[in-house]
Amino acid sequence: MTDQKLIQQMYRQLSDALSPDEQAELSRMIREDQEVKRDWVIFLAEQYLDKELTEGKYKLYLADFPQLEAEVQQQKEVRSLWQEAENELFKSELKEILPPLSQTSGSKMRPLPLLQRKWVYALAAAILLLLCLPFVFQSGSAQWEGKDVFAQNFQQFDMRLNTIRGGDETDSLKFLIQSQYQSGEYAKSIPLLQQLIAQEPENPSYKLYLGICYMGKPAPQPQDAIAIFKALQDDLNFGQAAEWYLSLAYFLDDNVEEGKRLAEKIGQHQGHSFRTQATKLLSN
Amino acid sequence: MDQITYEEMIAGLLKGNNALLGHLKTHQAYCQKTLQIKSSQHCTEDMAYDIFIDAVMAFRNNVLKGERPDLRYLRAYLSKICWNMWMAHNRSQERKEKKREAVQEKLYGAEWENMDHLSREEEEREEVQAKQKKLHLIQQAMQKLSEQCRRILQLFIVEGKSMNEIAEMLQMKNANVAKTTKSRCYNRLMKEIHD
Repeated sequence: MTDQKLIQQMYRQLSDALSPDEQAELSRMIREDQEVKRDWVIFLAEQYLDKELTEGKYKLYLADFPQLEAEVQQQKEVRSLWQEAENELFKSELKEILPPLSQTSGSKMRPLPLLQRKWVYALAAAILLLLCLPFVFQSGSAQWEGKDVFAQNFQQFDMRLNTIRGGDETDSLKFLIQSQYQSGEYAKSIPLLQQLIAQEPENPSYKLYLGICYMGKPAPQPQDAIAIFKALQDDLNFGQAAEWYLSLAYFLDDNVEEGKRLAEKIGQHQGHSFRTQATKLLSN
Repeated sequence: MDQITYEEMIAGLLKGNNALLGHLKTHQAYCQKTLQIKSSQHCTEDMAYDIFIDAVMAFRNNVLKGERPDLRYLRAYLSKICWNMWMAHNRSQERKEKKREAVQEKLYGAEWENMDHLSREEEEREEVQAKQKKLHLIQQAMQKLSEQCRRILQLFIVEGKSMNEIAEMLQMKNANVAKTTKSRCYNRLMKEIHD
């Protein structure tokens, strides 16, 4: 008897639709053939969990097939874990389609000789920044308290532009911007960032970098920076960074009161990414 | 997304072409790194990757459920899912920790502070391992089923579809055919698990 036919017989047996001869034949098979007996127990448990088998009938069958109870438990567990198992399988498939960045960067990202490694630039920029900070952002006039606060607290926001080796013109542009930005050549970065924003106007990170560049030497434009950071304040990803740099832009613009008010607001916000920086600013 | 349009991606996903999700690679670095920066690096690179994969799964599931996110802002959409998942993970960890501490304090009182906490970690590890073993067993059995069997069981067990609905969706003759096919598939699945 084929699987399909046997299952049809079992359904008919449950609904008492088998003739006495067919019923006797099925009972004999269940009794004598271990395989059919196993199919029958699986079937009964399935029907019980599908609520096709009443509690009373289930108890009657349980008397003849005590293994039914364990089968029901196992099927319950399989049903509850089915979606999770399906998700895990799909996740493995997805991890092959989208491997970790570290596995793909070797083939797609730029080569990494020492002078092109990001951390070398970062280190060089950090040292340069530390050495030049007082000169880069400080104006000639010492009485400008807001500008002093800015110079003491400004730190470059880490730039992460995803450049791809052998990529298109946009990738070359990004690479150039990244090099200039990390070297503190903000004025040179401004027109390039504007070009990038024209290409991808919905990207908030480019706007944040542009705002930071507007605060750089030789001709800081704090008002332009303020306009950008204000517009970014509600951004999901860069809102907190924009808020912190907005506070610094106010200081640069000598609007000490507004800069301080914003720094205090950040300092009171428990989960703010720039809370430590704001607290430090206020303590000095 | 330079080779296909978002509309083509949606249409492909609805047909079960998951390979199209590979096009989301262009948003991977952005989402992962944004998550790490926003979490002040509390979210490790590995965690950020796992969360990104979960976010892509959520995106696909939402599409299959009929949601149509504004795909002009797909990157921001994925990034938002990543952030929400990270926050949910943190909340869940906090809840677990509080619950555990409450239970242990109730059981052991002040002595809890001085007790060896390793056994709890071992217990948890064992639980996870046992569950992984079961999941692995089910996955192996699932992979041996035909595509039609997996689909019919998915529709019935997880999505709770009726036999009439399944028959219509899978273009079967009637609900009875769907019912016997489902039982045959179910039988095969359980036998694979038993064996």
